Amino acid sequence: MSNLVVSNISDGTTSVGTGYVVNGSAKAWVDFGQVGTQSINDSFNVSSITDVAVGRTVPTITNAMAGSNYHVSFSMWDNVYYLVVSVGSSKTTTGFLFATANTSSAAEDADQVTLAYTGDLA
Amino acid sequence: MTQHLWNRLLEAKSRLKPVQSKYRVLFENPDQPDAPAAVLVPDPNWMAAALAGGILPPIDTYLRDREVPDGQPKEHPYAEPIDAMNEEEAIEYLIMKDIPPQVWRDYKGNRAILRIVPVELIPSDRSYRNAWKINQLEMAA
Repeated sequence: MSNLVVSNISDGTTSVGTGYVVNGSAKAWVDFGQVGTQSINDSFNVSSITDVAVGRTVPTITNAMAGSNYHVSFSMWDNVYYLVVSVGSSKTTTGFLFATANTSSAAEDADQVTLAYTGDLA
Repeated sequence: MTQHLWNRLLEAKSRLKPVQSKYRVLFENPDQPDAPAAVLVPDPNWMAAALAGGILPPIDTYLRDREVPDGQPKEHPYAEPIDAMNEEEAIEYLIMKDIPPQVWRDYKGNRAILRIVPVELIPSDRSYRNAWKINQLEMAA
């Protein structure tokens, strides 16, 4: 693999520092289902997910983040509306407990969950 | 110079076909006796990298990195990659990487708390999911 070393990227009119592009891109992402036998649909930089209970999944990444203060964004899909109970109890450089619940705050599995991580890699 | 692990994963994803594992790992954490059994699902892209070889770092680098505080340099992204594994070896590697050591290394009790099973043995009906435990009678058979 060859490297292109530049400090800025420009479209001819506007330029941006490559640091913003590199640091702002997702370092890992995963798309999985919690219903039935949990499975991973697609991913990058993820080694496994662990189904720990109804609406509770622990995704683990392959290349750890530098610290535990990284950002996680998510989306979910199902026939009911969900709210996230937590992204971050016991958060470490490689994983965290991701919890989903229904609008009555009861734990419930989601058909599809997508997570993306941004921050610094180890 | 060894490429960073993240770059190796990026290159691997562009050329390797994902491999859905035939196995799942059932385990109970002795530190959480009231918690239901957990089910570890190997990632298909990670499994493809494990089977291909030349991408993942040695497992002992992850074990040493567990002791490294947040923000300090870690060893596993820069370690020389290991050769190809077969699926059974890859699952054993994943157990050591993603399951707490108190399950696979420290537990001395009589109860079976870790089992590698074919995916078909994991119930798809989740009605009683929060009461799942590893069947000890079936283990003894």
